[in-house]
Amino acid sequence: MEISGISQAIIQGLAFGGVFALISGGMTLFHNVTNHVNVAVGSLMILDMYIMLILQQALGLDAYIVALIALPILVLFALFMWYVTLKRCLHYDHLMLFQLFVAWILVIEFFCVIIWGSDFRVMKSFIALSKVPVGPLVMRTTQLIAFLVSLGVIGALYWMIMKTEFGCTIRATAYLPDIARLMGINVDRLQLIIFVLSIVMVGVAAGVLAPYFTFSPYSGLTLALFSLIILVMGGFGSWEGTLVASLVIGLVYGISSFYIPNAMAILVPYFLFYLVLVFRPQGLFGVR
Amino acid sequence: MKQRLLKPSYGIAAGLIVIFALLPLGLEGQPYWLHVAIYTMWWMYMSQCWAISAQTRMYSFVHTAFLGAGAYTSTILFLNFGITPWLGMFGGVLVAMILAGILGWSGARFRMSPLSFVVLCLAMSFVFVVFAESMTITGHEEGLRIVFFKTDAANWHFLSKETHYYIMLIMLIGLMIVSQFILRSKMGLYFKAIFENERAAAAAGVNVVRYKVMALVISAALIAPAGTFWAQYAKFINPEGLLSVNMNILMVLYSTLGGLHTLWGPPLMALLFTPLGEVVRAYLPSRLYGLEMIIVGVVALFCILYMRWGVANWFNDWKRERHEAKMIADSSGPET
Repeated sequence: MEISGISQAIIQGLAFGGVFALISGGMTLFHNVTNHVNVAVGSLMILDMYIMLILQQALGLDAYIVALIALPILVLFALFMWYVTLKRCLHYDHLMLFQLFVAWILVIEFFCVIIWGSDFRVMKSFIALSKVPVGPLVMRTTQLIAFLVSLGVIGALYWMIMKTEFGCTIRATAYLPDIARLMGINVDRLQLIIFVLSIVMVGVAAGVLAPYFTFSPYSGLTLALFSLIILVMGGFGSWEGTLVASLVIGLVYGISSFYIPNAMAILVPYFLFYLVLVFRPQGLFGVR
Repeated sequence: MKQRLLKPSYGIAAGLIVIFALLPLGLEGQPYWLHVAIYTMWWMYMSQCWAISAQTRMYSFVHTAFLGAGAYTSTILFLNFGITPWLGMFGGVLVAMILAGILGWSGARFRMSPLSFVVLCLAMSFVFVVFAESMTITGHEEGLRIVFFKTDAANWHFLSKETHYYIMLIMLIGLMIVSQFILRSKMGLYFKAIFENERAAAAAGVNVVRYKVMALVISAALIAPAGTFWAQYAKFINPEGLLSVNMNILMVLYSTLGGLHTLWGPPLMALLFTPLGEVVRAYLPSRLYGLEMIIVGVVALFCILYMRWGVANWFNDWKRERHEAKMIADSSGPET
């Protein structure tokens, strides 16, 4: 029983990390082409979940179908964010752009509080309670779907970046933005495309996470913090780093929450993060 | 240009001090608004403290830990050993300085990028919340209470809000003087050099690690008494009220919107935004709680869009541009 318990914890941790790989992957993309970090991802996820919730209440559909409808709405909101503020501020100092996202976090978070209250909510899905066997272990179907979808999207993205011409322009822009501009790449348009792409990834993550995640408007900050930790730990802008760091953080969190009572379990990933930063300030796969 | 003996800024400062000192007389019999005034000044104090460490790009999102160190140390010392908070305050300062030293050193020595340091600080502020909630000596989630029924100046027990108001006012004035001193001193110049370009500063002979750690330690030492003050004023401290991450975020927002490397920017924004929440809470139905944060967010968006380096820096630039334009107009007159 002990062995199966710990492997259960490991599998849950990996599933947890997979979703964060998706969010941090979007952040990595955005960071690569704009040199800024979108810290509002957590709040955007929560906003997406609330949009899903009202759609579900109105239409009575399953969580996964509703997620597909909520995605375009989230993208519209992100475009609003882009054209109203972000577009004009990309050349700003890091701290100020950070504050811009923080201001958006405040607006989104407290908008959700006023409209929906600060209670914890859950989505309804027909497979919410079902379980599937994975080898000798049992896994919740929702978690398995979340893990597989995340890995699928990450894989597709990796292929796009490494193998297609569009991916080549992304890498060129990430490497030397000024030269990329001289080579005829429309960097401004690319930044917009990447921003929307990262928001789509956030929306997908919210969609697969929502069926088994109890959320309140204040959860956004925790989600954002976890994805930030993964981003920094993997090394800014490194694909492999983001993937490895998310799985490591998920794994460590899964194992520590198995051995340590609930509140203290969260400390283990944080201390791991501290140690990584002390020994490799540029992150696991980062270059300086 | 002739140096004037009495600069207008001194007059403005003196006028503000008089207004603030006379404010309790105007709020006679309205304890709620007196409380709002104290709360606002507390926030002004904290924003100004944060701005000091940010002068070297040590964007610490962990200042509530230093605040909490001040509050918890003095309260624990008083409750368990009967040490008066006037002395306990210095214990709190010491603890905050040690914490800031460790954190600042790990950030500066290992040359973490500002963003890595931000994320590290955010993680650490969560860690401190968990610690405070799980230890018996800090009273878990319920926090600690100081109970007293009569005024006892030796133990910082004051029943009247006015006394607390004046203590906070003196603290705030002291902090403004210290900040002005730091801004004008050689250290402030080093801070600015590190802010503008760390490598160039190091090449010019500034000990970057030392000054970065120093900025954070000074800032932590200054913010800890605010924690002790709040413990004595509210008579109650808990992790949610003193250590929450949202407080960090607001502190940073006020300071950056106000403008770094200025004296009056950070407290000005706290002065504008903090009473807003109380007004919303006092006059609007409880359903709309949180509206003030939306207003803060929207105002912040506009500020960032139009004032790249904060309100105070924008104002200074505007003043300088006007002055230069006037100089050009004056000088071009006789030549033509």
